[in-house]
Amino acid sequence: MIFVTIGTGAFPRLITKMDEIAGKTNENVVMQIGCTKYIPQNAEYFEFLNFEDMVDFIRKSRVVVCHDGAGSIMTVLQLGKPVIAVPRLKRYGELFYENSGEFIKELIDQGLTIKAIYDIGDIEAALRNTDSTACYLDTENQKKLVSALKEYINQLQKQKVGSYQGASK
Amino acid sequence: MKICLVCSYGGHLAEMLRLTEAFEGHRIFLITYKERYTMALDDISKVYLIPRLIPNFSFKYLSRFLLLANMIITAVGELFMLLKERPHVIVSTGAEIAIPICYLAKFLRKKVVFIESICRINEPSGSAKIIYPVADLFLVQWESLLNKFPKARYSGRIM
Repeated sequence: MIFVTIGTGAFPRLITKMDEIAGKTNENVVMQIGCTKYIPQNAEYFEFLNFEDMVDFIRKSRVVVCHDGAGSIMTVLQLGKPVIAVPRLKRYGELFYENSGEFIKELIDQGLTIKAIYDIGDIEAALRNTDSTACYLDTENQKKLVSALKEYINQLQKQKVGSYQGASK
Repeated sequence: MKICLVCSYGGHLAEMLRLTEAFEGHRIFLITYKERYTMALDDISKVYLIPRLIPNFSFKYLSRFLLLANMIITAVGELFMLLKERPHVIVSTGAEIAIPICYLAKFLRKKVVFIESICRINEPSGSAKIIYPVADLFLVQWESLLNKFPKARYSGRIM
């Protein structure tokens, strides 16, 4: 099964292409279409899914196609599934700031196993050639950031306690 | 400590949820938009939802008037939440929903922590630029942004 998720926005360029692919393939295609106005004709679709149902579809899928959203990509990689990410681009009216897919490029440079699609015509070939063997999410970077925030909050707490003790003397 | 987490929905909320472990042991509440999304907020016991007037179907139709009206509603709501909850620190992953509360909090002498989105590699977000002057801790998730914000720190990223 191919699962498509585009998050909370609209992504008609991707949804229409995946609907076209769904009409040609024997493989089941399920789509979460967010605010996209185009209604898929060849695939089961939902506007939004709750988290448990989203995870369920991802688990059952062979591959997930999504926008270049950190949340979607993290969820898919954590579940060990191959992800094909399609950056939203300003020139198609999909974003209000300039973007040429740098986020996905950087993630790939960092070693994340993501297939990036810059030309929507490349999706079909990418869907045929998926590899689920190396899909996971390293937590090293996340631990550093969490640790930095924790340290800051603890520092604030010490200052707060210190000021109370100073005031009571 | 009482910590106010404030963020927009979607990606901003997904990023915030990757950081909640940093606030364990403290009392937290979340402010976000009232929108349809798929994230589970079960780990956060108190959530305030602010109505969102800005249409989401396409960024082409971002209406400045609706944005301004939404900011006023947000500011009034967030002032109420600040006075009711009295957090010691505000933590935000953006976007515009965080602007009023960060400035109100600064006025009320609270600490402000801002974490720029992981999606911003070379160009900062609008809310980051606006909140930067009042942030006590300003974190970027890519070192390439450090030269845009002199007092920013890079300390890792959500993935």
